[in-house]
Amino acid sequence: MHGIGSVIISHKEIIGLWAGAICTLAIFSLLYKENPVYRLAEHVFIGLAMGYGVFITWSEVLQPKWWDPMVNKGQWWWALAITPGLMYYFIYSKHNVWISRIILGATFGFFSGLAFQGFANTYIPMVGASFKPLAPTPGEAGIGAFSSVFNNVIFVVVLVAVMGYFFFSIDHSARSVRHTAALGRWFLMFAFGAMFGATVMARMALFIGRVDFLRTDFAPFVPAWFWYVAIGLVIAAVLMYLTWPKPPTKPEEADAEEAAPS
Amino acid sequence: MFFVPLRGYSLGLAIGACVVLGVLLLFLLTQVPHRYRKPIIIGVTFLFGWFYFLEFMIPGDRATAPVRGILRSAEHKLRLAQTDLEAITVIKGQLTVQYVEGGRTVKRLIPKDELKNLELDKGEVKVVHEDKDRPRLGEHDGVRRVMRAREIMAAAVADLRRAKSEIERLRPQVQRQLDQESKKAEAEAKRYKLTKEMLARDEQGNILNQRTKALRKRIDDLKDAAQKKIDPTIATIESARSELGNLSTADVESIRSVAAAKVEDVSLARSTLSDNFLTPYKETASNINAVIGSFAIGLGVFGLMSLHGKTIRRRRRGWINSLAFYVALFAMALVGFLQKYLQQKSGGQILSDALYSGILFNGAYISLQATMFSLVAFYIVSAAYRAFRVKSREAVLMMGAALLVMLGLVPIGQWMTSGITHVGWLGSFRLERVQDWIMTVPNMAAQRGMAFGIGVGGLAMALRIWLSLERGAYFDKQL
Amino acid sequence: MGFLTYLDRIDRRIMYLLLAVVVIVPLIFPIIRQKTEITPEVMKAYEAVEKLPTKDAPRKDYKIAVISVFFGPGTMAENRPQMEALVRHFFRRGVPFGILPFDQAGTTLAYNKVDQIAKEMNKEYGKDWIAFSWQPIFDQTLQAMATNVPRTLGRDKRYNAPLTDTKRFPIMEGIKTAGDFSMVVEVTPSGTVPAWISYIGQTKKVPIVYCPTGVMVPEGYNFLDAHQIVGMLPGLMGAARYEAALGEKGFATRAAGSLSTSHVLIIVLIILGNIGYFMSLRQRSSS
Repeated sequence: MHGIGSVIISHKEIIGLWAGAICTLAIFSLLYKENPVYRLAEHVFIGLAMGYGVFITWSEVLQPKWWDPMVNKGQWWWALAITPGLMYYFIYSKHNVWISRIILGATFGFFSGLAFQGFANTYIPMVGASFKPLAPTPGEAGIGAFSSVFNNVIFVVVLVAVMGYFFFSIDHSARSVRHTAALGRWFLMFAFGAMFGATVMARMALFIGRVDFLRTDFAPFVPAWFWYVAIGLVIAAVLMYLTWPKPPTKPEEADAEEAAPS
Repeated sequence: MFFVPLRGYSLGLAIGACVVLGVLLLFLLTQVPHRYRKPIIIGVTFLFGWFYFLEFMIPGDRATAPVRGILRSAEHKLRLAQTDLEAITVIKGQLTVQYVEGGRTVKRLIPKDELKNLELDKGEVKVVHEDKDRPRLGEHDGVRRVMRAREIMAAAVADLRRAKSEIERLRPQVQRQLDQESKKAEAEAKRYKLTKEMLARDEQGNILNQRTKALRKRIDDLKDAAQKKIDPTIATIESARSELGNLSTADVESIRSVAAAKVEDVSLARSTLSDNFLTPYKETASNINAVIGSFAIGLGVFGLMSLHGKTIRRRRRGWINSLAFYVALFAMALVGFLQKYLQQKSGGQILSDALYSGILFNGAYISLQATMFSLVAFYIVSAAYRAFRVKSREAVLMMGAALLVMLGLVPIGQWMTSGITHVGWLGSFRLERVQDWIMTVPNMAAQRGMAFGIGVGGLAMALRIWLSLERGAYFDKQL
Repeated sequence: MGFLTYLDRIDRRIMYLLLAVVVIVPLIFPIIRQKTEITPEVMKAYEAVEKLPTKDAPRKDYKIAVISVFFGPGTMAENRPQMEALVRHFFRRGVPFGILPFDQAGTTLAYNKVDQIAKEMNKEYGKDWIAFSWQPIFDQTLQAMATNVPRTLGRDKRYNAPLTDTKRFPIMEGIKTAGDFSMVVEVTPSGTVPAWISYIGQTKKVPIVYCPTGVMVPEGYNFLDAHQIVGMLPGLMGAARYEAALGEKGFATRAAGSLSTSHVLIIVLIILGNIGYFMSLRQRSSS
């Protein structure tokens, strides 16, 4: 391998890091305002994602599970899978779009059938686990007994109140139902607050990951002079932005500006 | 005998015939009158769901029903024994530990589960003495529970022995059936002149039919249940039961965990024997769905290509971006295929591997996607600032919960209440404990209430889609 | 009072800049040195891994753990440290495991990371660990694994060789169904653990450790209480706590300081916003 090819091969990690850093900063430029650099990076991302999807779908699914058995192992019946696969593309046909609905219906049917098993195995054990003892069990005493009873009572009250809130098919005119539903709404707000707290951690972690990439993976490969030049350019850009003459917004304003005594 | 793997010209002919048949079917579908279209879709939707619904609902093989019944009884008894043992309080052992703090040696008595946190706080901690856990058996109730657990375990062991002898009775029966089916399959192989090579190529057992495969699996399952699950369970429960006899030194907690583990083993043996005649086909169904579903990737590709193609053709604003999309799409797909399918270690393969793994994937794609998602961190800050206004009492409650959870999750929250001791009831007021309590008690209860609503709603939706009762823009569209 | 009314109109770009500063500074200068406490759900996960059979277990007890990888580059900052902490624990104990990816990009992300750790800890592919190929359809793959694992998963990622080749992959010897899994670790940003519980956890009695991102954490406590999962690593802090239990300092531990300061910033901004809001209301009602 000669020329540019050998450069790419021998420096692939560094080129990759620079590509990653440029892409990261291009996307972050949106935070200041919408700009062409961000738009370009966004379109490149969509293209890369699509290309990767095509490659992975062939190499990890279609080739080992369909092409190889059909062509190399003689399992000719896999050729029958082409017909239902092509049915999806009738979505582009004006008169025969219903054929795509057949294969989509089959897929919906498959997953609906799975839902029964999913429900039984996920939610039935939860129902069992919701029946908690509201009195100390024999042998339990002291602060341990008090705290487990306290927690179980809170659990049952919150669960019943929240479920009461979600029963929309029952008339809420009776006082007991109305108050239970109102209590359920309060507990739901409490739960949403807790969910927000956990969500904040999740989102911050993503940004911290990017900063860590720039600092730990990318920064060691950047020569020191680059930082001085970059900081200088940023300061120059800020000064220019602050002092750049703003264009007049309306023609009348422009005339007024010219006519005003200096 | 229809689905026999082929080679050479016959394979090509068979594939060609399938393709022609497929095209013919599609042509016939285009000729179907409008009034028959909806019933066809309804029928197909129902049939494909019927497979998994049946597979779930149909009970296992009738011959193994007595074994499953006995195992269910043994499982129930072990759960009762487990419940009895769980009700016995265990007085937790403590540790006498020694560590250096502020230049002087400190000796303390701490609960066992505080050791890890103390090691994190103080560094090196030496365990000087350990008091073991012991059950509170002195009262009448504790002794009575242990005696009852022993009796129940003995009854469970008797059940397991019965299950094992039932399996021993069944195995020769199934073996005889398998021998008969194998003879039939060999006769068919001779009749159709199938060679050894063809039989070796047939991984899925289509030639030596599915029935022999299913029978062979049933024998394996019975052997598995008897040898791997029932025998060790009998031995372990017998030993645990005899340890319970020695009340003064009985380690109730370890016997409790043995009972819990063995309950799961018995339950697993029972569920393995519950497979019905559809269960072996689940794997095939999964592969078929994966392959057919993968053909749909083209929909996304054509959609995006046509959208961006129009932008480039008409030179609309931002057409350079659409060009960049095309370049990225073809670069990634082409380089990916080249690095995988060119001859290993050839120049082209090494270059395309460098481009793919070094630059396009690890460099650009990963960074772009991760950064797109990380923008949400900024939006959440400005959204929280704008939206979290204390306009009502519910908003105060929501904000209070959010603040407690946010602080309790991070080290700064731990630092704020680090002055409060870990040990005793006061330790429950440390921020990380408060956050843990909020998540495990009130939040969890509310989440469970929501989960039940979502679960029932999801099931109702699945039923409506399966039976084609769903209404809406898509489902009511004119066909 | 005039200044206070502007507090509810702070420019969003100033808030973004403040966020960038409070995240970057603790990463460069680790000012927050508070030790991480290990919470009960993380401890349960740790203890569950400690009880797993190793690769030297007798044949009849031999099982492998499975790490189900559902994350992509979007959530790798949170999910990858969780996976890394568990992988290190598996390698340290000698627990054989396989990576089972359900996300297209996650396939390569997880494989590269585990390969790097394996080289660091001198572990061999095919004996100590294995990477299965990407599985596109989640629910049905789980259903099918209940009856036949090697046939369902097909091939491995590195060599594209069939998993039934136990000479090349001794780790797969004796692994027939999902009942031969010693544990499932679900590392995911989505609500996919109910499917594992439903098709594998309940039917094959395989213990599950759940590693969700922060968004899915509140839901995870539901499964923990119902004993449908044996332990949980809640978000990035869960990974940091697991690293503390292992006595290691990875990315999650480094990030804990930045997490703290960013949370404090949000709380301060919420308080400032409310002060500005109330001051504006007062001003409007007085004028």
